[in-house]
Amino acid sequence: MSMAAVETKKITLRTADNHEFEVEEAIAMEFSTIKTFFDENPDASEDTIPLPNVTSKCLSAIIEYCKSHLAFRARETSSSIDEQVRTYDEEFVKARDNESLKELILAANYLNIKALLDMLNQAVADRIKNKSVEYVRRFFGLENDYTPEEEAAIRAENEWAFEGVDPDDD
Amino acid sequence: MWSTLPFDVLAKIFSFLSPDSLACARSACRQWHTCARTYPSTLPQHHQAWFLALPTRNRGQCCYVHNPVVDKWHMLSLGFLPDPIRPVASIGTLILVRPTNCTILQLALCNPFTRQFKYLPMLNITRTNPAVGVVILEPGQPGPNPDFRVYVAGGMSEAPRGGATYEATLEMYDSVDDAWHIMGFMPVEFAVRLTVWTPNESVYSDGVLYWMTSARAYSVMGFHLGSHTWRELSVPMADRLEFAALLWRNGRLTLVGGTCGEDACIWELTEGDGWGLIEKVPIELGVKFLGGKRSWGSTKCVGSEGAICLYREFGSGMVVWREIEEKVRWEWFWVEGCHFIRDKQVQNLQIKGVFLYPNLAPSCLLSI
Repeated sequence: MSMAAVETKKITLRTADNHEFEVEEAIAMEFSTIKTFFDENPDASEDTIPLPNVTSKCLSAIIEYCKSHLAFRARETSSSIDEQVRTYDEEFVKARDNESLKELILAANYLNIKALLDMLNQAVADRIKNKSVEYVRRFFGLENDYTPEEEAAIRAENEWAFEGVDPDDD
Repeated sequence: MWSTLPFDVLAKIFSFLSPDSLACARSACRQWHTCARTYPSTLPQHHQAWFLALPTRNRGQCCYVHNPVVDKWHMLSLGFLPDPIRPVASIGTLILVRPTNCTILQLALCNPFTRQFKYLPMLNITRTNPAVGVVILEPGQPGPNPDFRVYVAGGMSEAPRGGATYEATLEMYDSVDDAWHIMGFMPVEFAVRLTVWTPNESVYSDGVLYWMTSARAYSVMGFHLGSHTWRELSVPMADRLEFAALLWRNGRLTLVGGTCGEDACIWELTEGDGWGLIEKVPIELGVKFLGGKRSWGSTKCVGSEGAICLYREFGSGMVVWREIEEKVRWEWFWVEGCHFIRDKQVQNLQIKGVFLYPNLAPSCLLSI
């Protein structure tokens, strides 16, 4: 009697720049958008899923993230695992510039991956935490489109918050 | 770039910002300001309550708030208030206050961050100096403005033939119908205690409103809301405590108090109305807090869901016991007193403190 090899089901995803990615079903199911699609269309699993809003660079990073977190979750929970997860998340975010963070956020939002989205949002929030308004503008390439009167009114609205922020050190 | 980020995504990022950082972020450009206004954060789950200090000799000028995450004090202008106020209790993101320039009790709601203020309707029976308490209905429900009830008990009212008499009624304000209702009566001696010896607001626990009264020895009075009955609880070391405060912590009625020359203690109400000692203020923090003195006399204490704070004057520094891991671990912290804000020296004022969840979004509850 031969043992049939269990084949892990693979799902094919096509990115905006026409790259195809084959991922294990378990990983594709981390993307709630895709999971919902399959729940509603159970016969569609052989088809290639188009992701017009996601670039290949983003998708490969996201796949890496989900793969790693799935592996973490498969192990027994402990404080050292939590520590490893924290370190992984920090490293995942640290080297990325604002533009790629933004793309990842948009992709994670589109694919509806809550844990990744929360982590990315927290990372961006940490980058602008306790910084001056000018720093926030420079950092995110925002143009100050207020008239001087409007700006004064806005600052008066929350005057208490504008003192004592970290010095702009660049 | 970031200015084209869809609002619902940007709003999620904003929900991770503490109130001071949010205030800066939404001032960056029109898009971000509009986003913050369109998608006001509902009470963020992971944000901590801030300590708000209101000077008691309040010329209505300003109050001070402490951001526990970065250990920073801020000054908030109170120029928008029609009258000088004293805080009574906190209701989520709002504070219940009473104007200090009139003897009759009137109550109002206030958000010092959005500069909103609104009087509650007048009581059915006007009275001076009653005991006050707040019950938040379904705490933990989403939304920054939960339904709540305010209870007012005792006080002195005008007697039919002139003069004043102790008022033996209890009234309740319901935020749902924005009206006061007379709920019941109490024995006159309780009315006296609630009027003369009850400076602080009540604590609600398990269907009962508890007030700490301080006539000669401390004791606790409780009003059971379901049966409209009153009861009394004794207090450990009642005649030796130099200060005593009631709080709510981890689902239990909690008592904080200190005796001369000893550590301040924290007790929990246990089954059978006994008190179990659960914690003591660490010696070195107690010494620092009292500035080398042995008496706890001028100490005051307030709490929120995850923190208990002992404080004195504004410049004295505070001792805070804060929940670090949910329901598992609490830790002690020292908070340096505030001496300077914006390079200007701050007077060492007498203050009354409350905890408050900062909310920058204007509340429709407070629009007149």
